[in-house]
Amino acid sequence: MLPDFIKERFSIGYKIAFGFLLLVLMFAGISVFIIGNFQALDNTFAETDRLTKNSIEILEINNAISELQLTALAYSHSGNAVVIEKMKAKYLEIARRLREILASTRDAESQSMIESMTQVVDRYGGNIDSLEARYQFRQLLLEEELPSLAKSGAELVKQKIVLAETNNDFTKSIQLRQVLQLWLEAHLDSVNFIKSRKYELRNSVYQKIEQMADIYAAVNGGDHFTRMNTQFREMFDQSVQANRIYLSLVNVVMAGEALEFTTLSDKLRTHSLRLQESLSTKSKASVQQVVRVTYYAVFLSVPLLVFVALFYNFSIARAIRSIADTFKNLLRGDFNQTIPGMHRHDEIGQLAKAADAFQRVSEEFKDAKLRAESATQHKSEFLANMSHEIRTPMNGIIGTTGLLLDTDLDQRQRNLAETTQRSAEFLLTIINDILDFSKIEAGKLELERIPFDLESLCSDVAEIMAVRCNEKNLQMVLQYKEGTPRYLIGDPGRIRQVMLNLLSNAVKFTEKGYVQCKVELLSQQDDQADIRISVTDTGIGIAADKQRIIFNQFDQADGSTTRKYGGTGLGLAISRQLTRMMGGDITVEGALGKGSTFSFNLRLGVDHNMSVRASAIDTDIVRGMKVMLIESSPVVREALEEQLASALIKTVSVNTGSEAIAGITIASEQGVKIDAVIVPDSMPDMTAEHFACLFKLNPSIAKPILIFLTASPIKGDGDRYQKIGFDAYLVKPVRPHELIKTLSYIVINRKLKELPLVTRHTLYESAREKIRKTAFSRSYVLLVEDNPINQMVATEILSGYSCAITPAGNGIEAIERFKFGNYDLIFMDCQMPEMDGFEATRRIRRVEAEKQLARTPIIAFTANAMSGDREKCLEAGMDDYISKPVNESQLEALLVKWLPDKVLTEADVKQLDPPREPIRKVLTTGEITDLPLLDMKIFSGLAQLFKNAFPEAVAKHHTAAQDNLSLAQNAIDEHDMESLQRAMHSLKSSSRQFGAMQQGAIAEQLESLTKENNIQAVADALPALREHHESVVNLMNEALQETRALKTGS
Amino acid sequence: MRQSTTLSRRSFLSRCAKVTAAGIAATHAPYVFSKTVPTVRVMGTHVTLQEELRQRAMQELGIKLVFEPRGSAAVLQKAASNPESFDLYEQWSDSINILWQAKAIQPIDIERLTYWKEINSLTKTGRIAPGARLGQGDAPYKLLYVQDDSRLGSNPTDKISFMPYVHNVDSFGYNNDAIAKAVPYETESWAWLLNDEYRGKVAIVNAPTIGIFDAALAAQAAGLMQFNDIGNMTMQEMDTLFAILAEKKQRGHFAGFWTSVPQSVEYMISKRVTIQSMFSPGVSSSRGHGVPVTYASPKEGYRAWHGVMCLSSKTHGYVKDAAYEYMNWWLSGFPGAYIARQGYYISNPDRSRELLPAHEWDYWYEGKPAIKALLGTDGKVSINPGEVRDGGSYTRRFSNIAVWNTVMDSYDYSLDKWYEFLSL
Repeated sequence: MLPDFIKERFSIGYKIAFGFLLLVLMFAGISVFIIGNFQALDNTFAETDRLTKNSIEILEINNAISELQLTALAYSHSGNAVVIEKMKAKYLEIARRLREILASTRDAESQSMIESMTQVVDRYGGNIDSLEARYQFRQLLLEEELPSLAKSGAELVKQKIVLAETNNDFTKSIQLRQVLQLWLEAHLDSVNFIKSRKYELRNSVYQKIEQMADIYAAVNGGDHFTRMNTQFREMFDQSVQANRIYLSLVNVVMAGEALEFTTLSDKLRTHSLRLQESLSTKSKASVQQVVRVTYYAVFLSVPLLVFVALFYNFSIARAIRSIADTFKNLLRGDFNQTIPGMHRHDEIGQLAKAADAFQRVSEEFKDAKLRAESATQHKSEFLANMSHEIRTPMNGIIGTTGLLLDTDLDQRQRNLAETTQRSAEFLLTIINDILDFSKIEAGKLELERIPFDLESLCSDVAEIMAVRCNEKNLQMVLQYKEGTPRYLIGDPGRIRQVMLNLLSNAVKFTEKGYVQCKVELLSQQDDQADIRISVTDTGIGIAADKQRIIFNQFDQADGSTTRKYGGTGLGLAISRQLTRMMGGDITVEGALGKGSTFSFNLRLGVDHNMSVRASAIDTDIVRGMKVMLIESSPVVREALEEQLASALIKTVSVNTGSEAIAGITIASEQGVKIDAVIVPDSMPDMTAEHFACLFKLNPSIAKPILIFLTASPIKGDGDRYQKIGFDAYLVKPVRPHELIKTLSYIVINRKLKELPLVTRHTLYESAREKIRKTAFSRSYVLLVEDNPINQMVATEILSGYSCAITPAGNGIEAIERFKFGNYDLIFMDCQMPEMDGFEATRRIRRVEAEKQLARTPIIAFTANAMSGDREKCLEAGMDDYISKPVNESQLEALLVKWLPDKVLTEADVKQLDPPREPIRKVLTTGEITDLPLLDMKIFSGLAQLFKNAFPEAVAKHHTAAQDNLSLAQNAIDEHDMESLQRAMHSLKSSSRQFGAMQQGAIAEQLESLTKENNIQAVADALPALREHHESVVNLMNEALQETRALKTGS
Repeated sequence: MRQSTTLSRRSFLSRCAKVTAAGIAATHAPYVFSKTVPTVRVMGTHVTLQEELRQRAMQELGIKLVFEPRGSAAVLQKAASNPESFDLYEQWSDSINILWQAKAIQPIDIERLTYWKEINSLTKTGRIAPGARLGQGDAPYKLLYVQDDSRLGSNPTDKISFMPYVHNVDSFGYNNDAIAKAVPYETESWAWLLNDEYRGKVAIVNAPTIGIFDAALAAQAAGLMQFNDIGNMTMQEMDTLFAILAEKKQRGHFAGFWTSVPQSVEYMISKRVTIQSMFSPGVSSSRGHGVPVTYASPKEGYRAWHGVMCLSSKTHGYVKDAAYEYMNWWLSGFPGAYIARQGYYISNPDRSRELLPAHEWDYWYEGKPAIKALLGTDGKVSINPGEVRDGGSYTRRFSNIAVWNTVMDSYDYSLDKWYEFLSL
């Protein structure tokens, strides 16, 4: 259609612009032409109209002039002055109309004609005045002077006749009579000559005058009459001229002008007609031209439009479609097409080249992507396997080093071993972090969505961190904002991980001041809540320019920080990834030297079921109480005030003890009773004991409830503080609602009896009365686990649920046990030496099939939370899985799920005999002392198992042990053998789980003594056990410290 | 004191007004000027009332001149009826009878005319040369002298009715674009004016004393009728003539009747006509406008006219003196030379000859070919080299006079007939 170079050389923009320009130019041209023509037409019509009007006008004027001329003739007869006035008026009107016509005339020729006509009319008008004058002059001669002269002449001649007759001169008389006759005839002739236009009479007048003169002269000689005769001739001459002048004016001059006007107006009319004709011809031609041009335009524009459309279609639209198809195919992954339009030089050519480049790059990219994906897959799997593989020998190294440290070593050896152990533990932490990180990287980390108690979680974490805060003399503050939901759905393990990471960092980088953990609700919609958890410290802070990079993996704010404080630098990166996965993000605020606030948001489900079931805290009793709070730290104060305010308790806060005393005294004097005083262990001006003494010494004050608040509880302090006068002994950080619960417990129970010191344990027990562990009837469980620590922990937990455990160290062992036993449930570790869990499971399933046995539920212990493991487990024939470290509640839930027949009602429980203990030899005292005070192998194993949660677990153990000891004391006091036995049993289990082997043995002894009802022996032994417990606690704390130090690598 | 001054001035002014004659009240000139510079009002036609002449005369004479040019009929009737309206009247000899009989003019003293003796024989005897044809009608010499009985006649006296000055022979002009140039005195004929070939393109002058002769000569030349004495038509002859003209007019023969020279020029240059009665300046002007007009030399002879300068019967005193000065100025040479360039002749040509270059004299008076381009009074070339004056020399032209412009006895009748003719 077009030469290729045009199609392909010039830019599409130019082509489109050119096409439109062509069209626009054409239509503009046509429009200009047509508009021009129509304007011309319009002008023509107006001109024709004007011409017509003017022609009519001229015609009328011509008629008016003819009328004027007639009027002039009429005047000749009447001589009426009114006629002249009319003529003048008529003339003026004509002149005016002519000038109007002239003004509205455009044609030069017409103008010149009208100008001529104007001149003619003006000349004509000028003659009207003359007309009157000439007429009057003629009249004067004809009507007055000539008749008067004739009369006086006649009189004179008559007198002469009379005189002649008197003288009887008849000849003279006859001659005179002849004269008179001639005189009268001459006069008559002259009048007739002029008035009747008897022109032949002129000569007769002259002849008669001459004749008269001759006769008169003969008779009378020259006298007066002779002069009169001459006078008469002259007057006649004058009259003739006057008449001629008048007639020449009317007949020649005015008639000539009138004729000229008529001639001119005829000419003008002819001219106008010609003009009109030419105008009409012109307008016809113009219309025809418009029609013709319009036709041409249509004939030209239709093909042009079609041409432009076709051109765009073939040259551009098709090419673009074809390129678009190419790209579509490329996106679909077809990289083997021939790309059209490569040879073109316009935009389509560029697109084609881009498509070509895209095709090449895409091919490379596809390969690269496949390679990268497979590499990443391999890397992730490799990392997961590696970390698992590394952890097992690492556990071996740590365990063995622990064993080595238990042996007698010289100082150098011990140092080396300890260094080895610390290094190994640190390495293990790094491996765990890397594992987490690589799981996140690989997208293999799956979050749980399970119901959990955020408040407990936060309290637990705060308590764990409180231990470390105490060591650095920092305040640990937990502020669980009122209104923040408690029961939520999400991944508590990961939340805890993030919180611990942030709090550990806060404690790590803070030398004095406090670490505050604030939990608040941002927004809530039905079953979804946005929670913000922020960790504020008063530590070294982070420079603004570093705040962004600290979330990058392996980055800390400062390279030197890593050296000083240790850490892998992965913690924050992992935390950020985790929070992002949980629908939020971590942000940091603060400045260098001014502390930092790390906040992360979470989007969590709301567990309405639990929220409904959970009893609301009863605040009715405490509502309106007035509490004095002694607290110098604003952060702690704020947290406590808020908690109290949530129960509508009025708080008066003071900084010091003396302020408090003064305040209470003044209040009391004014009749205001302070219901409770919260006394911390660290007042700037006095100790709590001192404060209590000052109180006691002042009998005028009604005694309020005294609550002691300590960050570092010391065993045995309880009694002391109760004796001093305190009603409650609480440990910082104060848990959410703990103050309210304490106050309401005291208020309720003080009315009943003398109340012992209220502790957290008291509150926990009072709550526990409502929620009990699920009771099971005897079940037989095969536990396949190569790690002895894990085996032990699981055994300990499962025993609590009436399970008889048969251990197996590997798959082969497991199959052997299975063949000869009848188990209700099998727990199977996946990674084991000799035969792994998957293979063992497959074999067990085969055995079942061979022997037509009922299917035994097999639950996998998986060390790595890789989602692939679950599929592998189910594929191998397992029924469920549980991630290590094993959690009691999870285990309980699993048991309920897989052993529903074994779940007992409360009635069943009462009927049941106490569960039989496996027969065990009670050790002698000597044998007991041979046991390790703290079995580091077990303790370290647990530490690995619990990872970061271990300090908390240890703390829990301490609390539980303390509780059990307290329970035991109460039981002894109340002779409650059952409680005593349960307390001792619990102590025994937990002690052994943590490797406190001596304490476990002692507890076992006391338990058996209880069974023998030897309560006194138990009562005697209890203080020793308590003492022992304290040393165990110290030892464990030391060990914990060491573990932690190992981790941080300091 | 004051009152007397006012009174004296008033009386003086009133005297002045009487002396300077009425009609120029519009001139608010101071009295000193009014007294020493008299104003002469000249009424006439465009033939002689030319601005350049007026300026020149005022400059040379130290008088004020007011010109009032009009069409020939209009000027005649105004002058005849109202002698107070002018001091000098300039027209043709055919006005003389009318003016004289109307007592609108007074006799001129030959004594006061400086150049009287130089005036040639044409006016005095009617013949420019001994063998010349004596034209019919009122030849000027018949009206020149004031006879003792106050009539006008050819018998010389010391008073004359007019001062002879400008004169010429007239005929018709024709546009050579439309009508081929013919041979003077041989093929050019008055008959052309009534030739049906030129129907609708013919005009004659609207003046019975002039136009009637053009028409009569045309009718006679065309053989449509014969006049006993064309200079003194009978009423019967007039009836016949106007019957012929009426028929022609009704057939659209006449394109117009002009009343002034500019109008005749306009007729010609606007192509309204191709042939018409014309005066010499009209021919020159038409040629100046680029229309090739030939001023015919009809074989039947010319219609001659003679300019007359008349003194108003109402003019007296120093205005009259000034008028005489002006009359003498006219014959003093310059005006004759000036009007020669427009084709007019002066009654004492020798005085003007001195002021004309030989080649100009040769062309205008001697009928010789122009040896170089001649300029008209407007400064434009009016005659191209090689051209010969239509009709030849002064003598030849004035030797071929058919009739003088005349007020015939039947003039009164002609007015009625003329009116009929125009009104048809």
